[in-house]
Amino acid sequence: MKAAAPDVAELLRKRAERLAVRERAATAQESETVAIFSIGGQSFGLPLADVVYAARLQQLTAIPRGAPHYLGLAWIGGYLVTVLDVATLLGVREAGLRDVTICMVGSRGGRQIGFGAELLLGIEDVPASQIVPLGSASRREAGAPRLALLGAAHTRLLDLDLLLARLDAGELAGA
Amino acid sequence: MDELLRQVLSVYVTEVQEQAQSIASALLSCETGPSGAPAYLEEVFRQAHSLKGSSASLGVSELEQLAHALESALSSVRRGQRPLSRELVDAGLAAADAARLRSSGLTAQDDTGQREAEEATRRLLQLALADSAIPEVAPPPAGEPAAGEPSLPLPLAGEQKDYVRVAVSRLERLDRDASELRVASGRLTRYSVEAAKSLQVNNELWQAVHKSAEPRTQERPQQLYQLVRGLHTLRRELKNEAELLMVLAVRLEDELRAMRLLPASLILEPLQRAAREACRVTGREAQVVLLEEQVNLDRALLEELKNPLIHLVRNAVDHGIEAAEVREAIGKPQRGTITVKLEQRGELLLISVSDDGRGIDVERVREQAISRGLITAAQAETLDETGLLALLFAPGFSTAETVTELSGRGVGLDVVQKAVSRLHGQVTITSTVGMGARTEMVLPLTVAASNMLIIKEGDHTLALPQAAVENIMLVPIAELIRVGTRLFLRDGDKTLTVALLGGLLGLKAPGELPPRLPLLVLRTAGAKVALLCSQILGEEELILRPLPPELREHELLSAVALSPSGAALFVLSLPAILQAARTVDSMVFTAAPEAAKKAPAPPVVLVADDSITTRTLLRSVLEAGGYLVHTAADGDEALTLLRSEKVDLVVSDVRMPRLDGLGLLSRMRTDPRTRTVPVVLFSSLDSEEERRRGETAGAAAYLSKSAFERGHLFEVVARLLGRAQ
Repeated sequence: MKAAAPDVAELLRKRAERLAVRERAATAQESETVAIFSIGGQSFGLPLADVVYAARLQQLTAIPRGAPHYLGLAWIGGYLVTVLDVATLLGVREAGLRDVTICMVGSRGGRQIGFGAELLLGIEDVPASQIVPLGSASRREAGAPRLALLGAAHTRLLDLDLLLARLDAGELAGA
Repeated sequence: MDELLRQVLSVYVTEVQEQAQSIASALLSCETGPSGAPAYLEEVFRQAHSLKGSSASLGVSELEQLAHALESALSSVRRGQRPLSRELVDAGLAAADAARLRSSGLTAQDDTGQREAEEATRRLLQLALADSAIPEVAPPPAGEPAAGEPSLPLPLAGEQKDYVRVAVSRLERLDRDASELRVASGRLTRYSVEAAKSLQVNNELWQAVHKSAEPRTQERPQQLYQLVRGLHTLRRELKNEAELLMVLAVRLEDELRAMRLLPASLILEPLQRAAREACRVTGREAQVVLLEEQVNLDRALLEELKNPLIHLVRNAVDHGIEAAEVREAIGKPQRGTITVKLEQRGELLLISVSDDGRGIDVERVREQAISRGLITAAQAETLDETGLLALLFAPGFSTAETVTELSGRGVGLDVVQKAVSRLHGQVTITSTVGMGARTEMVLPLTVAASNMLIIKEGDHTLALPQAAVENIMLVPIAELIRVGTRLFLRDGDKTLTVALLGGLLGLKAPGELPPRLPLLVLRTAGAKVALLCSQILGEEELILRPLPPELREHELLSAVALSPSGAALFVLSLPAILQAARTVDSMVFTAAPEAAKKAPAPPVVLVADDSITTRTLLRSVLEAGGYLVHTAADGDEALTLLRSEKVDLVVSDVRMPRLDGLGLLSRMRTDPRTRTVPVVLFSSLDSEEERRRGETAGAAAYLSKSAFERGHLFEVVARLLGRAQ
């Protein structure tokens, strides 16, 4: 068992709690709450509000002639999703082989997409002061336009709208 | 947004959309059916009045004014003071469109449709004021009927029914849950089968122990007997529960499907509008007639059908219906008729779109197909009329000589073909010169569950609609005829084009094929094609889902089928197969000689890893290297496999649920059957200490995932199996 991975149910419970608190408080956004996961030797943050489901990947169907950033298709928690290797998609994957055992389902505008993950690293409230834009240098990273500086590690913050739009337009590295 | 509006917004928006649709539909009927015009005009007034009332009560003034302007503009027509002009119908239709658009804006809480509503109102008021003899009707207080207008008919007590409006999205969520329920019941069935297997093993053990037990160990067979009985009960209960769950899931799905049904007549309005617009552009005259016997269709199916039918209607006006003066000269009514017929036959929906125009010039189709490079002149000679008409579905095909608003851009009937294919149906065209053309579509009535043939090629398990499979045969590879890079098969006095599923999927060509392979004869768009695959797994009724948006443009796939075990299977697109048969080069292969069947079996490798991606990757790497591969998701599953299958080598992850790699290794070393099987540990834990622990436990090699290279894996596996690479 991957001991470092927090329990998926716990992640979803925390998500519900934090969203409820945020709704009640309706305060100015001074921090962003993200679910952090790792794949391809990189860590990524997905806004917690965009995460609708997370579970261990039980079945994954390979996509014939599929692009390398598509790990496959999965029926997970009632959602039929294409599971992405976001590190490959953004062109930042490190060499070597890693275990993708978890799928987080992100949802925007009624559309869902799966994010393959090796580990769920937790949920973080990232203060705005610790978020820096990546700038226009890398078009390949257009789906993750900002970095969260969490200790020594850098987490790429995913923007689901941007990512889906660029993915549809075929503008990303792996697309 | 006003609080009252916020509370009832979804209901109000649905109502506005229905009212707008009714207004547009009734206006079009007013225009095309003079005998029924008064009744249709009354319907326009009834709907407009209703829209005005509800909008006023919720403070949506732009739609209140729009509805009021529509009433004003049509008042003189209602009183018989002027005819219903084309201009008035245009303005009325624009008003209906604006109302629909504004309702979307209200949902999104932005100003979408605001400008359109104001413009449509202005246009209607101009038309109302143009006739100075007609006084403008003052807007009545909200909820009250305007003076001089009949009161809205109240529903009779006997007609009242209880309805609850449910958002489609909510029905879709329920539908998703129902599918999940079906998948869960499939899993239960699988567990019940596994329990049956365990039961069998225990039964055998009990028999063996019972026979050999000494008197002092009498209690052991008794304990085993109790265990067998317990398992037997458990298996029976599991089976019963799985069956009950399946019945409930299917019933729930059926009910939900019924709730999503809509009358097929809803398709008429967009078709009438498409014909009207095409007539405006071409100067032709045509009417659309819908023949249907209260057919109800799934909302998704109706939505999918809309565009192809619009395309066919526009095509009929542009290519089929002659100019009014020509029609008159040849004794046809000035106005052409396009008949759309919908008929339910069992589980199938039959749709035809026919026109009474000039028909299709088959020779012209032949010339165009050759000049566009779709077929060679020699191939064209061999095609009969059906074959030539099937070419109309090829991408980019058009017989139009000039580019108009409607034709000549190469966006042709392939749009129709693709849509029908997505719905797992078939489409054909027939024509009689001078009498008209007819397009027929046959579709499964439901998009929820279909009979599928399950086939396998390499690692891919795929589904094909059973309805498209005409024949299945086991073909000797030696009987295939190779012409250039393409393959053919003689079938009686006909020749079939053969497509290789492996080639279609972009799989590496095998050096040799078995002497015989299954061949599926498929029929699509009036053409036949044969598909050679490596295995047919069987037939199943599967729930179908549309492809996720990222994969909708995938040329090979048309849908996703969900298997009872929860796996998603891709449904192959029949047009893609047809296209591949025509264009994709066949793989270079030779039939394996009979002696090859007696060649030694390849070494068997068991891959144990809890990551499905790693399992899949290792399987494909090792299979490409000529190994037979079994997989297990953890150490426990690996042990079970090791007990039932002959395995020559194990590649195992270290960290796995239930039983980890080191645990597996230790259990293997204590079992005489697996003691000597070499184990390669393959882990992301690559510290020296971890390596030492692995080697101490008896691993033959320790490979790091982060430094994975397929060449190195091959080298290690080949060395341990004493095999030359």
